[in-house]
Amino acid sequence: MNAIEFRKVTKKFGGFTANRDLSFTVKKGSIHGLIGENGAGKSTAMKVLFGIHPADSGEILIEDRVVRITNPVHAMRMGIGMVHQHFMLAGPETVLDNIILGHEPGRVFVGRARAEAELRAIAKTYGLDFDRWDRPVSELSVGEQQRVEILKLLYQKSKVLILDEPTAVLTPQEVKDLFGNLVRLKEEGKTIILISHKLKEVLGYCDEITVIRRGETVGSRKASETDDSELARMMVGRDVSFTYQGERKVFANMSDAKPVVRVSRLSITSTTEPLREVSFELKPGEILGVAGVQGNGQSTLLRALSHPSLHAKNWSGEYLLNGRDQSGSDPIVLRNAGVGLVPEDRLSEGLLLNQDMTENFLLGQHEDPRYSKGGFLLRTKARAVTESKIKEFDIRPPYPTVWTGRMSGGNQQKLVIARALDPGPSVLYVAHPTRGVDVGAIEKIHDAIVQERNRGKAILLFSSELDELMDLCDRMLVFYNGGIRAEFARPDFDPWAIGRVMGGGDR
Amino acid sequence: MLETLFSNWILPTLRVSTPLIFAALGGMWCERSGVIQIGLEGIMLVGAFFAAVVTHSTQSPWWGLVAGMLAGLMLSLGYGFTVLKLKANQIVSGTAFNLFAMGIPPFLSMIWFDSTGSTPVIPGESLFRSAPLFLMGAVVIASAILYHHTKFGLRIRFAGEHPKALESSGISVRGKRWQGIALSGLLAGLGGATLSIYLASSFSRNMSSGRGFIALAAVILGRWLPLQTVTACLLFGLTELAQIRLQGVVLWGDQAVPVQWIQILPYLITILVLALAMGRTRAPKGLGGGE
Repeated sequence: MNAIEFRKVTKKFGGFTANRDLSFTVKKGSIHGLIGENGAGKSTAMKVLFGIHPADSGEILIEDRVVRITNPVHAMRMGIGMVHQHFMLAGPETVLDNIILGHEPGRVFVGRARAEAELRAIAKTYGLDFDRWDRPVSELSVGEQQRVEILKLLYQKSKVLILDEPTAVLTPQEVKDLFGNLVRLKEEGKTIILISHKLKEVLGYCDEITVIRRGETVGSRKASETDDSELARMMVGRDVSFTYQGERKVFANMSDAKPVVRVSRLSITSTTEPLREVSFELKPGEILGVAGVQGNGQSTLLRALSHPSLHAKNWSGEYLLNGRDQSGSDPIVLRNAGVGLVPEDRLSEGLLLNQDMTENFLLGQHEDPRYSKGGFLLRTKARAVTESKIKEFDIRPPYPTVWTGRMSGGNQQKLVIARALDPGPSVLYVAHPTRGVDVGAIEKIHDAIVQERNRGKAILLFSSELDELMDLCDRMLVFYNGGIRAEFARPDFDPWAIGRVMGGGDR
Repeated sequence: MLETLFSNWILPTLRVSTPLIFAALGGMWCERSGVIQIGLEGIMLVGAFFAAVVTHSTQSPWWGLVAGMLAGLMLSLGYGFTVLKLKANQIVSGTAFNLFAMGIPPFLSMIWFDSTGSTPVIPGESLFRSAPLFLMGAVVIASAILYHHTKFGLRIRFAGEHPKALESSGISVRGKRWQGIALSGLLAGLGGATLSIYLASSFSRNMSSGRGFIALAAVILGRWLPLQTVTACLLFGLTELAQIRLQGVVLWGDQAVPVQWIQILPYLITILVLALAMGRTRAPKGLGGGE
């Protein structure tokens, strides 16, 4: 039996068609992947199903019967539940209250005892390891909060669970736990729809995968009968390579070149993620990778290098940029000295989401004589430059007046990178350039980074994706417990050896 | 010893705190639902006025109490209309309603009693003795139970803390906010009524004299929780009592402290306490925001 079937569903927003004649079926008791690039319309499709945006035309069938879903409450009654990308949980309230909200067992009183007994039974049935009903949600880790959201759906007796990009916010261990839980839910007869753009995940855990491109169904494949290159081709509409294919310029006399950045015995203590006696040199024309399991000092290193004054109190060691000491400097000093930054979290550190692309492009460059004169911004100029960057980096939608909060992750990241490169920096600190970015955009971002290297820039690349580091870097530092545990050089990148060192072992 | 402590301090503190506690609990419900309620001051004022007028004409304080509550309800519903229906800024609209409320008693008292903002004195036998005190106890207990143990309390909390979560579980956020606003009108109106027909024997001009704002301060100090809010009200009630007791008292030298300095006390303490406590408090996340 089919749990869900879409028949030629179309959804328009004004003149923009988000879903056009979308058709696919989801089998009951399966995990179904819904993949596509950011902005392809997969979230819209699920919002149509969940009744947030009712369809303009076409039919939706639940368990082979045509239904018309007009609002989320209606969808919930039909047994459809959704875990949103941003959790619908109130931090100060308890787990129990968050779960039972709107479906309290009592008539006047909440009936917490009864609800808790029921939830214990549910958790046991589905093997969800959870026992913190009376704790405030804010005390829970992100992975646990997600489990609370899933419990909420089970408590509401949802038969179909939609998860929107569930792994974007999780650590690798939490991802593993999540999929373990989803497989158990499936075995108990639930149907799961997984919205994702991570090919590895859908290939590893889904039974069937439907690909959407520009609002239309490209096709559905059994996970056992396809591979990542076919799916990527279906998503992007052309062949996509997962490794950098362009030219890699060879620089002569690298060993004699003067380092742009020299860090010696840098320690940052009294933070949650300390740094211990870190020393390295970064030369022009090389990409130096920083690898390691999250929380082993990489974040602190990036912060120390890009914002030294933040750590001035517990700083020890030396940080030279083109021979000049920068310990205690403010970010603006570094910027003027030729540092470009792609921050770890573009949403909280890189962009003003309620401002348009031009203003975001000006962010931090507002005092640059190219964009301001006598204290006034040269808006026309800034807008023209933004427009040219939009073309150069293929940023979509291609209008400088679009709020960055309305753009997809990949396009946001392209803007952040375009901005970092605009002043022509000699050093780039790039963190997680492709986090939450879809395959087509990853290719472009990787190209841009290597092009900068070929132009002789010095690049320090932080990433949690080992594949990305091995593909792009000339050398790689592996961090463990706040220090550099080992260094690897191209072409001797052995993923197993690097993995061992990341875990605290030896090569 | 214990008896004099009770009759000299505890009972009077409870008495002067009564209007504050009613108003503050009203404010707490409203703000928990996600709507800023700086209009408590104006609601108390019209509540006090109409309670005095109706008690004067019916000679029954109970009818006065009902009138005060209804007057408060009307004013709060008007506020609700501007902020929930018309989406007006809550601070601006609340301020406008406070100013509007200040004009009502002088206007009507001129028509009805030919006075500029006060009502005739109500004879002692028509005033409350201690009924409001018991009523207050009941409202406090009911609020605490409602807040912690009922569906109503749970849902109104989510309306203020995470309106989207409430909406997505199928419950109207706006409905809860109307209920919160209505409760604030009823309770602050009730608080105002106790000012004129329980603590005094008539309405006098600008009788609330900032108590609505002090009640709001108590809500913040009480971290938007019922019993904590009541405790904060008792603290402010005690300072008000001390203010009354200290008037004309010679503290040093041979002259009494000027009464103006003494009268500053409740406001000064409000500011100090809030300034000290502010860092630790956390308002409902959706307070003042849309649905």
